[in-house]
Amino acid sequence: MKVFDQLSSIFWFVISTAVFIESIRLGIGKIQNPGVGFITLGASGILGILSFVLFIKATLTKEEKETEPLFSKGRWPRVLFVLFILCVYSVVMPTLGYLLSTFILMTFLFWVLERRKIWLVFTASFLSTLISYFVFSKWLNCQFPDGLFGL
Amino acid sequence: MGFFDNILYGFQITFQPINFLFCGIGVLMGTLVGVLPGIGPAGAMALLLPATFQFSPTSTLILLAGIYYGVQYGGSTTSILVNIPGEASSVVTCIDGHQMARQGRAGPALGIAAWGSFIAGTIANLGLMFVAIPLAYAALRLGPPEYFSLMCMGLIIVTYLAQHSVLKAIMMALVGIILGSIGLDLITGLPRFTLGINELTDGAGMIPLVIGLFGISEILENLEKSLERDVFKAPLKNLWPSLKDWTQAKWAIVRGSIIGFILGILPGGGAVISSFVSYAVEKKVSRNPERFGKGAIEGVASPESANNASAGASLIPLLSLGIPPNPIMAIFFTALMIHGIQPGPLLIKQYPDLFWGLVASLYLGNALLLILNLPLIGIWVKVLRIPYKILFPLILLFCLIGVYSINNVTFDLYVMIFFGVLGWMMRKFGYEPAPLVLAYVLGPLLENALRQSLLISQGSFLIFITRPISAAALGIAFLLLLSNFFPYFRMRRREYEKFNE
Amino acid sequence: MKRIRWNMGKGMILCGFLLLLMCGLSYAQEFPTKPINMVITFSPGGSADPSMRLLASKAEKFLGQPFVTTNNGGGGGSVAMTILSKERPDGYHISGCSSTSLIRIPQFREVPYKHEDFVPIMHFGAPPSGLVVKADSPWKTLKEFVEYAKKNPGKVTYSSMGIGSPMHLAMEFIAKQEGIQWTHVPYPGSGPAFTAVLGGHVTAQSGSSESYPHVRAGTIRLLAIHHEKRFKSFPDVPTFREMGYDFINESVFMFAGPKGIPPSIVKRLDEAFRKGMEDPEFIQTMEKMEIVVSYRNSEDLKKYLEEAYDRLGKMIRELKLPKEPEKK
Repeated sequence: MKVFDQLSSIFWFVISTAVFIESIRLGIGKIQNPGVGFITLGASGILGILSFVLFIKATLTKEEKETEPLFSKGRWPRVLFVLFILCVYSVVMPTLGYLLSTFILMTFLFWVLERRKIWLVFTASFLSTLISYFVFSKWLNCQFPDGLFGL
Repeated sequence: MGFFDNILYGFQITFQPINFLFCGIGVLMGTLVGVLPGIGPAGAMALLLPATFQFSPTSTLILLAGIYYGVQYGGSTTSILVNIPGEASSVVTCIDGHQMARQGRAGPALGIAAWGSFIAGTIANLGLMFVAIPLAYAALRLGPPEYFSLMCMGLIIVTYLAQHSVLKAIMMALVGIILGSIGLDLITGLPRFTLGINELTDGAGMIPLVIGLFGISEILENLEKSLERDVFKAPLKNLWPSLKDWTQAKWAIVRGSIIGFILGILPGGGAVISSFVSYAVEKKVSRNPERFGKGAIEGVASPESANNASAGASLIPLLSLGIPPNPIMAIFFTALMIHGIQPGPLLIKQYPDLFWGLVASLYLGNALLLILNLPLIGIWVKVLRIPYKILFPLILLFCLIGVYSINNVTFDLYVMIFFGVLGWMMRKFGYEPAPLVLAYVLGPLLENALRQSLLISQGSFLIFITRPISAAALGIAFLLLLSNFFPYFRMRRREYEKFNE
Repeated sequence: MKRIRWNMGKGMILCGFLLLLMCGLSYAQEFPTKPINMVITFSPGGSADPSMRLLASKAEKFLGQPFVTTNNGGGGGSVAMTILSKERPDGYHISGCSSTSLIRIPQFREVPYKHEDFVPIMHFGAPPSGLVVKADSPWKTLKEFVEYAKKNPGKVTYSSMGIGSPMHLAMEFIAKQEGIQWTHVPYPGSGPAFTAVLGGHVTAQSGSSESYPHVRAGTIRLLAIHHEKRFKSFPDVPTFREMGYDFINESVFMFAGPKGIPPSIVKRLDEAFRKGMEDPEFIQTMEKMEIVVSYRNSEDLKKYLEEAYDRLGKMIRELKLPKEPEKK
């Protein structure tokens, strides 16, 4: 955990510094009449101090057991792939429409863990898309984009 | 004469076939909406509202109340099964509920949540009948200074939520406060920390944030781990809460209900705050608090009771003062207005059939929900048997739809994905998301209350001490803060005594 | 596999062509030939969303096509208006909005649109607003209240739904004319602002219809309203103008589309909505929801918005309200 804590404390320290500077730019006001950045100034200030404390504490502690690697080998590309697909889905959904884009998304998601039976993947994604469309759009009045092809 | 006659009258109205039917439809719809993460009842209510124009306002209200109550029941299901809080008030349920599911005790967790909700609903209903009006007027006494002091009290609870490192928990709370400040500043109306993004003027959004931090991060973590073996390896134990579970949870339910009912009357996040507070209280009064976070049944029973009781309590400001305390109550308000009824101080007097019919329907709805939910547990538990390769795309889809449906913009999806990645990283680095969520809710309330108070008092801090409720709350907050150090002192003294011996 | 994909692609292209063809044909026929998308820039609940949905359902009869209505209340309506400003100006994408999101928000903070980016269709009403105090307070009229505030500078506090709202501007208008100092306490929404006056935490509230049940019950007193004419439901309550303050709440509930919609289409929509306003159910519901019904057609509304924009800009400068600093 030692390296992890050191890394994360540096991360939060950077964040808190950025927020601190922005808070000052926004205007702190007076203590009797706090301005826009007053609370965030306080919060980021304390966060900065605490992350510093965490850094010192982590540096001073002795490592008891060996640190596991942050990304277990070979698996995290899968996570990145899913994240990428989700981002793409969020971008194209309004233009492609709900049905088409969801079908594509579900195909990829099912495919990630089940690569052999392609026909199964297609059936599953087709069904899930259609059923979710009817449940959410028709029963629950969710409002999905129609997209290019009116789908 | 009196309450007994009134409630009898109410039941006569509720058991009219049309009202009975509406209550049933409402709770069914509500359960469905509640189980799906993110999807709020607003959409379903707006859909059904025009259809109720031909019916009496009482029937309309019974239908809406059924949906509202149903949603409260369903909220815990996804928290327990897949660690996705259906709404913000089920965030705390995730902590112990999901651990129970992982230990093969999803059944008892769901069961105690349903029973807890039923008992809390009944207690809230009794409260609604007997103390609605006095409580509503008592709540009016709470102005900005009182809010500030209460929120200070709430923030101290953050330290109770920590399972591992208190330091990291406080850091997360500070991050929560910073995240909560994103959006338009109330006092000046100007945007801050929005990075120039128009969509962020309303803040990051509660639902995308909690679904990202809890749900998406959970999925990412599971994806990263080996999936050839199932995530839920533990064999299913019993389906219902055992006698031991009951003895552990019974007081938690009662305490949760009372806390929820009292805090639920606070507008703006009453349900969220009450669930956190009741969890902290349980952890504090428990003889062995170390069980919390590892599947303690009280950790499910008390917040679930609390959020249900506060759902009942939030009807009070609407029915006795005509002030809707949250967006869902605003829809109730509109429904009444469209039927030509002005919710206000005269509502109960002028429309007794409406009020007592509604109260009776809440009893009925509660009972129907219990009957509906207990058999469902068997089905929900089977959901965990679905192979993860099929389950996870579906969970992701539900999250996407739920988050999208809040505002019908894809920006919320980006927010959800962002917090998903953040939550994933936080898990790796040993940070807990629950303090962040609590501070995210409390932060803006605290800031607004502080600045409003100082506007009213013209910059004098005496306003927090001269008002009795505020002073008392601040005092309690201070004691709570001190109590964090007591175990530390005691430990030191014991060491010292040992040393002397 | 490859073959199937290729076939799918071909099918899609074919479908695309067919759709394009249909779109082309539809222009030839009279507007509208397909459902009209309308985004309401308010969340469900409140009075805006149901009144707009109701009017749309009445206008459908005259258009012969339904409205597909969605809600997006983000950023005080500015999120939905940003999206709308980029839509095709064919009349099939319109919004039900408040004039606030067109003329007020762009003057306070940076948004990616201007009010000229839209063509207003019509407006049908406005939420009521006025000044209320507790009924057990000593002030029976606006005059007495102003007198008290003059004699006790800094003592009077009032709540409103936010800085720059018409309710806030109304109070600052009086303050400037009479040389009064009173303190504005903003709340997130009209409901909480009203709770503050009911609980006695502030002296008065400049607010909307949430107080009317209490006015009828006698716990709250309505001193004056910000509208041109007195309300039917409270005939004894004077308007600000009658009391010598030339202020009117100018925000209206309206429909708008992206700039460039052919005038004939705007006119067709305008007419449909106007006819919808004559529906007895609409009139009745507006009365129940305490919405002040008023109408302007597209051209008049455009002029009205421009004038209101300038008036508001002048007021913001005079009152020195906080504005987002411009980015370089």
